[in-house]
Amino acid sequence: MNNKTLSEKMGRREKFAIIGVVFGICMVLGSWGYYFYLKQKTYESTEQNLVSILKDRSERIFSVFDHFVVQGQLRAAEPKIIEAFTTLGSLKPAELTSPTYQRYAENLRIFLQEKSTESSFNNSCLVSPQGIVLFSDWAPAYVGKDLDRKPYSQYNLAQSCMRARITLTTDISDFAYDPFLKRTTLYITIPILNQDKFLGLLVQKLSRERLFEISDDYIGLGITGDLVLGKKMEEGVLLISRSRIAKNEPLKKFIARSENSEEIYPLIYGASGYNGSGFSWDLAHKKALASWRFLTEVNWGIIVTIAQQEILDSLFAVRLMSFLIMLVFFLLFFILNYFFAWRQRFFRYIYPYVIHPAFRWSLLIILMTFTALNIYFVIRDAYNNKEKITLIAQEKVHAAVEKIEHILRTLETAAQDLAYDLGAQRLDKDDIFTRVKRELKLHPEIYGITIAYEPYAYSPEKRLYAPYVKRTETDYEIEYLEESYDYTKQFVAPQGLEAETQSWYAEPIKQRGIVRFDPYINLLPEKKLLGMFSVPFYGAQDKKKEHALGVVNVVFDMVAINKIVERLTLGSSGYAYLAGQTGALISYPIENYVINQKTIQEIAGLKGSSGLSIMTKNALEGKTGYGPYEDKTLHYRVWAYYSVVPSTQWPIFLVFAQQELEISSSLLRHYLIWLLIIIAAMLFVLLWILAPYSFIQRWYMQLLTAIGFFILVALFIIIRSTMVIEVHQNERETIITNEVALNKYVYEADLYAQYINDPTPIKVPFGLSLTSIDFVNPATLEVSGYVWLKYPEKMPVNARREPQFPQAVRAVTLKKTYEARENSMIVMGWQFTAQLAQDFNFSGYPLDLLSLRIDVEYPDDSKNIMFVPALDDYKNVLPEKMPGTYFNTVIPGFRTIKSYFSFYKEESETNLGLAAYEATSEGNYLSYNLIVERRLLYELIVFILPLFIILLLLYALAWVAEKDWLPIMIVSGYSGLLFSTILLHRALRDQFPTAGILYLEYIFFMIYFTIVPLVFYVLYKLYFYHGQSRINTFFVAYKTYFWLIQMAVLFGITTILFYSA
Amino acid sequence: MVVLKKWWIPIVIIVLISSIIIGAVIFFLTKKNRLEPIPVGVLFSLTGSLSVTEKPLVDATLMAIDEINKKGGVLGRQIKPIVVDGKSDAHIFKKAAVELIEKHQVVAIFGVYLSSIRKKLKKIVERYHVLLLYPANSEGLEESPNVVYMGTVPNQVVLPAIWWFFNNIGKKFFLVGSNNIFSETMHEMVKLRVTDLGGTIVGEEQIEREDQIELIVQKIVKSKPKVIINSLDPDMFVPFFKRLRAAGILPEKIPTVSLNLGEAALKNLDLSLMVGDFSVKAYFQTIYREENKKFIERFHTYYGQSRVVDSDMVSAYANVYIWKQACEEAGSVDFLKVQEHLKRQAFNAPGYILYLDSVTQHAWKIAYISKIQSDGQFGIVWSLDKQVKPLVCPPYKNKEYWDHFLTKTVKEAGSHE
Repeated sequence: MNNKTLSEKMGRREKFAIIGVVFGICMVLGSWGYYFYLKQKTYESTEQNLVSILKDRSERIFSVFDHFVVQGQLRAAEPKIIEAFTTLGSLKPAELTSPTYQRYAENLRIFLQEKSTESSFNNSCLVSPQGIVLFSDWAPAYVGKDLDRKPYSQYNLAQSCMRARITLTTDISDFAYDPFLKRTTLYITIPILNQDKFLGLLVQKLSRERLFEISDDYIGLGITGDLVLGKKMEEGVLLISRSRIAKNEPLKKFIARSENSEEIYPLIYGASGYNGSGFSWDLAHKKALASWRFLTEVNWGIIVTIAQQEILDSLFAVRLMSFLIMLVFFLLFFILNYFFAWRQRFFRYIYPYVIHPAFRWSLLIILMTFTALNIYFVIRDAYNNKEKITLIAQEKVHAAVEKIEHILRTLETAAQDLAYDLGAQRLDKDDIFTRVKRELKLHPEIYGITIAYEPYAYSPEKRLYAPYVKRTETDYEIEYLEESYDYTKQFVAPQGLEAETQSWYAEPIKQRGIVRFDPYINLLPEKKLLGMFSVPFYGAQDKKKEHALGVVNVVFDMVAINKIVERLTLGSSGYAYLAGQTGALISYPIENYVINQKTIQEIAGLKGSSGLSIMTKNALEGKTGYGPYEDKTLHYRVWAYYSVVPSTQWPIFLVFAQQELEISSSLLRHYLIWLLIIIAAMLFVLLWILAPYSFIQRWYMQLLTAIGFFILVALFIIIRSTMVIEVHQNERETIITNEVALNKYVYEADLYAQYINDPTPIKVPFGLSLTSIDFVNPATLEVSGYVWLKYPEKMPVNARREPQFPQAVRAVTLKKTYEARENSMIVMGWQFTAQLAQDFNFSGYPLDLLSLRIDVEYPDDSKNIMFVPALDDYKNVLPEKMPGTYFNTVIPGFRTIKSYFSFYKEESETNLGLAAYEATSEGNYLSYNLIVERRLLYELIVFILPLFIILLLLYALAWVAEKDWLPIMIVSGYSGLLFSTILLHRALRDQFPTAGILYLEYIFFMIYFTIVPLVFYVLYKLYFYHGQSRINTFFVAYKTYFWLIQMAVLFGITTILFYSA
Repeated sequence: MVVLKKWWIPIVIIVLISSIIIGAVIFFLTKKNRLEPIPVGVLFSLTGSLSVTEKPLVDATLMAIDEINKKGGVLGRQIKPIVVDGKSDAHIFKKAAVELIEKHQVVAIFGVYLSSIRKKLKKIVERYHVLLLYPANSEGLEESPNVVYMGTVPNQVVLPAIWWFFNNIGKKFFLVGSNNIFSETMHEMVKLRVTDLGGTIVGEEQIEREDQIELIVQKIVKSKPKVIINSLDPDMFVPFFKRLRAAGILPEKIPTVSLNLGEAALKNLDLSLMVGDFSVKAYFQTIYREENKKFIERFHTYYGQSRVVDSDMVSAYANVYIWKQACEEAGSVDFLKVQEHLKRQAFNAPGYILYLDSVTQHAWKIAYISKIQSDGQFGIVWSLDKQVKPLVCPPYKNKEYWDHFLTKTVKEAGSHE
């Protein structure tokens, strides 16, 4: 019996090994623990720093406002200003241009100039209590203008003046584009009161540069830090200041709240009234630490962000140190294990039978778990994405329905109250007109109200009485319907008046309650879509509603409801439509469908889908639901969520492409690559377990090589297939592949123009058909073909009528071939040839996909004209059908995959010398895109095959070059191969002189790095070879696993380069 | 055979170390929950004539406190509300405030509806360095670092209302109010504004007792105003409107604009008497906004579907959140530290984002004019599009004038009490 303790049984080396391992583990844990602690502390201190920077900038912004308010109040207290109000206020608008006025204004200007400080020079304006501009030292053209009248009443100056006049309180205007000054401006409006009398307003124009000085101050924000001001608009924010990352013009960038992403820009929080800090995203879509705040009094949000990577970069040294410690530990562990512990008795017992199998089996189990998890994540993400999108669709539709319902309820309540008053006879006969006018004033959506009495209900002497009060451009007018026809009888309409035959009078009396009618197009030239409902009224004593006294009929404009539907979108493909009870379209992205009164049943027929027909039927029955269908016009699978507006039973549909439900191709690639890596590792471990001592045997090596080969091939397939799907629209590019997408984009562009007070851009359809495409060099493309434009007749006379190609490197040849007038448009066509600069990314060569882009723009930025794709002129605009290519234009060495139009946003850093540049919509290019992929035959013959042969020769040489060979022969062999490789490499670089490192070049580097150790091996064998040695074993292993190593390196390089491509 | 001597020693050591580590982790994880709750006072009338108006304010305050507590409280501490009944009596309010501070050591008091009581409590909170968060509308003319004024002041709602009614309804106004500081100041303000606009004040009356109403209604009928401005306390609404309708004054002919009529008060009135009349407030339940919809839903979950929300309730609710945010920014509940962070404190309230003024601690608010509908709701007919700065000292007159006016009014009000 051996009574030795464990300690006694262990030798010194074993103890040393154990202490070393424990110490190593402590060092590794300690160093990583320290790193994570430091990381947390750095985050905390950076966050604190951001909070204090934000506080400082906010205080500075407030002090600018406070300064201007104080300056304004000091000026307002000047007797000369008070006197100016008395003097100028007594003048009639016509007298504000008289010489007497001019003299007085000049004196006032001089006085203000003397009193001004540097910051407030030339920025005052006087406005009368009635809203007339009496004086302005910055915009004399404003003088005499009535700010209560359109278009001035829409301006931020007028709105600020209005608020100050109403509340007699200093007001800060909205920071907005002032069409009068043609620049973004902010005003501080101060009411002036003297001796119990409101004299008028002093308006101070705030120097926006003072604000930008603060918002452009990035001190303390490192390299990636950003500071942005913004205001909340709808479901997003409009940037007020420049962003260091986006490099935008103030008030030119709108960031919508992302629907299908956790990536919420923190400015949205700030502008929504919240203060806080934490991890979020910056404008470069990178994870960033941010601090956000709401700026009171101006209702802006302000944020500071700094990219997480920059914070982590500051810890690079610590991270590296921890990594090195870990590396050293593992090296030491193996060395200790190999040189010391392995030879000891104790370890000899337990290592091969316990530790080694346990390690291998646990590794296999871990890898299997990872595989299962990976598969689970793919399925879960795909499922969750579908669930999430469906839920978003449901929420969006319900929100839209609620908004529509709210508008309808507001109008109906007004009508019901009017009916209540009429029934209870709370209105005198003389008051009816006044009351109806008031309702029209309170509800701008109402187009007209009719109060139609039952025969003799209004007066025993009068059989019928039905005043119809309707809105005109400037006022209201009254018509008496009883003079036109007997509304109590069924109205037989003349041809073309079909919509008005509805029983707006008889139906509500019959049903004893409110009756809503389907909207109809009125007969006026503007072809307005109008909604209508009628409410009967009864005497106060007639509780059972037996004898109606008459009907209140309300006709209202559908613009507000249509806007809700137009704004109802989902992802890049989503659009919505609304129909009446009978199915007639009320709102649809293609306006003609509404004007022509198409029905949703017809839409379902047009789409050629039984799925949509069933959903349409369900919606018309008042049901809610969702489902997929094949859209025969768009040629892809779409989903629709449908519901109904409860009060009117109007069906509403939200349609979006199936691809919105699918996980992104980049995410799929990530999952598949990881799956491949784990499967590869699992197979290797499995082999290790099954044949632990066979790793030098040939069959084992061959098996491993075969596995490696298949895995590499699988990787190429994954990359190639997911790269094809990758061509999707991004934030800067909006792909237009159908009329719905075009209308949606145009609508958003118009809406954006409204946000920034721009006039709506004039749209000019543009078409293109390419006949030839060739590469002049890797950065230039020569294209020729036909282009055409369709100008509306109302186009400004002095506007140029031709396209411009901003990418042209040489003068474009444009030869006019035809001009014709079609459907109130002038069509002009040209034959063209152009050499266009392209910004290709060849880094993935030869696995890369190229997007050939042809940008067109209107030549004159100040005209606010935008080109839109002339989709109607193509037989099929499906990208796979390659619209715009003439007989499938051939590009040598490439295969065309798809072509499409898109809008591309380019934010300019200059106004090109045009003061009015800000008034035009943001730089929108129309682009024609052609996606091509390489046929790979050329690359295979010229590069891939020779490279493979070189590798094969290297491999053969390594095996055959034994010690009896002359070193000069071996080295000559390597030199020859190296020379061939260099020649090939040069040929490749000559082909792409300007590109960065290409993917193919890494194979060249791989060969260089293969040659170097083999040369060293030759030298070693020449000078130090003394029989078997460990180094010799190493080189034997190197040769044995040659292909496996090459494939592993290629796998690593390919994965790194294409993982996030 | 390997024998381990004293084999239990490493086990004991491992168990000890593990226990210490686990204990420390549990200690730090539960540290926040073990902190003492923060006592705050909720001081309103739960009984007496003012209870109808003030009870809903208690509900709104407690709802906000409960919401905050459910989300982890303030600075990791739960808020402990101590609800005290002021019994509609100024003296009891004073006594209760002192008791809350001295006995319960509250750091803030959410409460009080009447201006006269607020003025009394202001002195107490100033003496004890405690914060009072006041939810109701006020006449202004007062500011204190110890008081947060979440209600409106005249320039925010009354001036816009006068402007709108002058331009849209008529130029002849009759003013009727209670005999208190609020009505006095409102009348003074309205008179100045109407005169400046070129309108006429055809009558001005203050009601102290119900039996005076008849006479005043007769005066209204006689003076033929176009608009009646009503700043009466809610307890006078029922007799006033009854007699007004009985005298043939219908909203369609002479609308009454109430400054103190919200959803809660309307529930206690005969709707048929009220349809068509107007109210001016900084919030109505009918404001169409996602945040408002969700707030009403939450309120209904707490107190039932039949309950309504009004402007003062929203202010009471916002008060709790504003105080919480200021405490968190200050990192303390200590008044002196919190006070520094109250200025410009914003809160995304149900109606819109409201915030405190950087100087006066009054809230910036938006005025809404609404019309009472036959469905018992207030249909918004007009509103400003932006929050208005609260002017503690109303326009037209200087500070000296208003100070003198206030001294005189307070003295008179005191004599009435």
